[in-house]
Amino acid sequence: MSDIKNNNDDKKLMSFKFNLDPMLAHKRCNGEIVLEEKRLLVVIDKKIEKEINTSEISEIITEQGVGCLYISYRLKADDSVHLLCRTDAKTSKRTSKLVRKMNLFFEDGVLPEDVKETAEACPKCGRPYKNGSTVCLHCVDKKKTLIRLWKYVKPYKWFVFMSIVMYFVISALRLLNPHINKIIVDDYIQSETPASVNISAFAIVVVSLFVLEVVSRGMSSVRSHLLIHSSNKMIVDLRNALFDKVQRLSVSKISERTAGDLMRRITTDTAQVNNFLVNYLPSVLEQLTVFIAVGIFILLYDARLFLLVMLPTPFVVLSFRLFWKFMHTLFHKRWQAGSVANTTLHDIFSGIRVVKAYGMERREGERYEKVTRGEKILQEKTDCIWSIIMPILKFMMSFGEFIILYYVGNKILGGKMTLGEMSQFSAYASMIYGPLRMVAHIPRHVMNFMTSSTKIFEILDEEIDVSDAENAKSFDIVGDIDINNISFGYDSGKEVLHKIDVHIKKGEFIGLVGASGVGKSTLINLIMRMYDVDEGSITIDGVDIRDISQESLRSQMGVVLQETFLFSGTVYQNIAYAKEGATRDEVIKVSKLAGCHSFIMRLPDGYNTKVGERGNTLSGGEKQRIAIARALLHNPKILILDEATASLDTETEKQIQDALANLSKERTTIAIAHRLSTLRNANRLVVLDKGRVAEIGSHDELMAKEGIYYGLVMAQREMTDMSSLADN
Amino acid sequence: MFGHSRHGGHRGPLPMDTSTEVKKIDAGNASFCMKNGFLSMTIKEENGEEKVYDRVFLHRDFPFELLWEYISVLDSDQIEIGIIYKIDDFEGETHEMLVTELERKYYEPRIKTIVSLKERYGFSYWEVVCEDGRNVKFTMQDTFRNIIRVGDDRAILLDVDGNRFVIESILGLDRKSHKKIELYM
Repeated sequence: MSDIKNNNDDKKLMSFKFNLDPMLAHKRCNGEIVLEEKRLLVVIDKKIEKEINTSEISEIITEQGVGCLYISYRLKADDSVHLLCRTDAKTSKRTSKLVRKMNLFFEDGVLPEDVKETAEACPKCGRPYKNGSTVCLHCVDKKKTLIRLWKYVKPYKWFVFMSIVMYFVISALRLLNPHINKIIVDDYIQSETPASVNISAFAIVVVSLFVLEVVSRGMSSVRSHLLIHSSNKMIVDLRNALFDKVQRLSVSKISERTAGDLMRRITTDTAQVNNFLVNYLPSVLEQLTVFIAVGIFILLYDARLFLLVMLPTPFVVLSFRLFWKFMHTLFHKRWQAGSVANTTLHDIFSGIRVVKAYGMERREGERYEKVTRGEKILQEKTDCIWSIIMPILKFMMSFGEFIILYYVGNKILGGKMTLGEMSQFSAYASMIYGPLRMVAHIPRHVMNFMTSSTKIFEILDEEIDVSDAENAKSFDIVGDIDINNISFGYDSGKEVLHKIDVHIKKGEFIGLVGASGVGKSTLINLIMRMYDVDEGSITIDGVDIRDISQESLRSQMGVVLQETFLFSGTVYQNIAYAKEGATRDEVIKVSKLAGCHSFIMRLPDGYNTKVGERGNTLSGGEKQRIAIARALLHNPKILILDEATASLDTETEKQIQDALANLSKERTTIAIAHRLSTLRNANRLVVLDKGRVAEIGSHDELMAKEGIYYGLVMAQREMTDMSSLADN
Repeated sequence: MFGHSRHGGHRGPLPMDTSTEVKKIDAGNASFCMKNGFLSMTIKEENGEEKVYDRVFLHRDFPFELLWEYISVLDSDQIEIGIIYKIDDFEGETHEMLVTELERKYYEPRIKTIVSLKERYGFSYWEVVCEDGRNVKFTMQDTFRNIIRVGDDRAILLDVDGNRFVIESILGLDRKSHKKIELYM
């Protein structure tokens, strides 16, 4: 063992850290793998523990343990694998990426520039980002978020301004009410000289009370109308902006989040933000106004009375906070129990055929009963505590009113206050405690609002990674595709495609062959520019696809995937989707070509048959043929078939193959198929193995070569022979 | 559970395990040693010949319930060679070696005390003391779902990075720790 500092004559190229002892299960260590020009070093606590000549290593290997990652190396001489180190799961993703980079050194002898990395934790506070997120909810500038939201409020600022003014006016009117009541009691009902009371003046006061009420309610109605009008428009604007942004994001960015997450942001989060801005915030402002105005009024009238009114305030606020904290835990548990009950029910109903087939109705009934019992117990507990504590809290709030009653009662008896004034102060006191109840909820509402608005802006601020170049071209594609030495890996760190170099001529039919997970679909996604390549380039007719506008590129490509998606709508709408303004004749023609016209004609509603989520149940093959008809109508220059006929029976597949053969005559076609007979019309076959091009050539050439393709064909023939024997 | 990367140990498509019989591996027919930092096995075949596997993988069949029983032994192609029904079938150094190998693969620090547990914005932030005395901070998302209860008393916690932490006895935790985790139980 020697110290790393004493061995620095070789240049350090790169390194990564590890934290678990290679051999001792639980022992943690402070280790580093250092790559130098001639040596690979394992350094633990600054001491070199192991040293291997880089010329002897063929590759570095990562293997996933449970909660840890193993890193080892393979020797060129005997292909043997030797353990280098282990590291825990926290660092494993980054380590995998660095190993990938290091492997490029062992392959080419040079290190590439930095491999792209996505930050997984906030650099400021170290907290991890939420799934697919790049904004830290803790460190986000909350003031900035509010200012940015103003952009969406601005078009309706007058509506909002008017409604806020009305909030203040209504608050003022509410404050006037007890004052008029005081006049009625003191000057008329409790008048020292009832005989001298002016009845018409009294009537005016009563009428003014009535008018006050009518005006207040009328204004409330107008204010609600203004808010509904502006909030609905604002929410639509916000949702449209979000939807538009999501549509412009790359598949890679969209895939980082689940469909449910995106939907939640567009629906629930926008509603949450809207509700806070338009309903909650003005309501808080109103309550605050009342609180301040009443407070000032009482303070000016009698400072001691003010103190008495405010005396229970801290207790009320604190009690509410504690109560909510306690109830939050209980509600959380109750919610969880409800969720478990729902999941159980969903599980049973989804698998009802299995339940019935195995005669498990009673057992499932007991399972459901058990979870609902758990939910019931929690429900009883929360309701019971709520019913006991809530009246106590309400009593605490009204306690201040008793103090006031005692205080002002004494004043009345002492002749220092009138009965009207007492009723006025009682009304004001009850007004002051209302806002206090709200104070306890403000942090929760603000937190929900901030979370939702941050999530919205996170999408709006998302950088469009697959974007059109400044001078992106739109042109008529001829169909020459050149894949020039491309490499690509998804964000997980593993390289999926490695130095793929394939050149496809216009009108060629190329078959992509290889085992699952070798990168066939990834290559197709790259040609469609769903992702951008990490290295190399893809050109169409000599133009880099990054310089072609995405709309122009994809509008001239047709795709049929293995998993067909039909939108909710009719068969006709689904086929016509590919071409705006398609005529009925065109739709029927392509349906005949795709072999779906005949089964459509057997449906009672023909082309008007509803399909999709709630529509008619079509078989996998029928859906596939509709998808093929859709692609045919699109009449693309480049046709991509990703296991397009995998779910069809052999006879139907043959029919569609013929249709596709007609279709692919004048266009470049790239097809992926596990069933190799599907590719019998292909001019050339590209065999991928472990992300690299292993073989390339025609069927005959590859059969003669007796390589991977030959093996695959033979294995399939054997299977076919076995099936025919079984059938006989 | 060993998943290979592109540069993984296995080359080419994974072959299928077509055997239908389970082979019992015990001290009578197998011996183990360490080679190049990995576990290596020599097994006596039914025909009496010895077969050497330069590298074998141990894999718990029931990783939550049975830590030292039902251990599959896989070859470098991840094909099962046989099952060790009980680690205790082996004694001395071999027993020690198999236990260490399993603990090396299943890196699951055991939690002794929960120092703090805070929930915010859908994450729960944990600060715990592990059995080896380390103070560890980790974050969990969707906390309810990522706490796996095993029986009435044991729990496995999965954090956002893929780390696993084990609480061997929830009831055995000190009162303060228990109170903190109670919400999720």
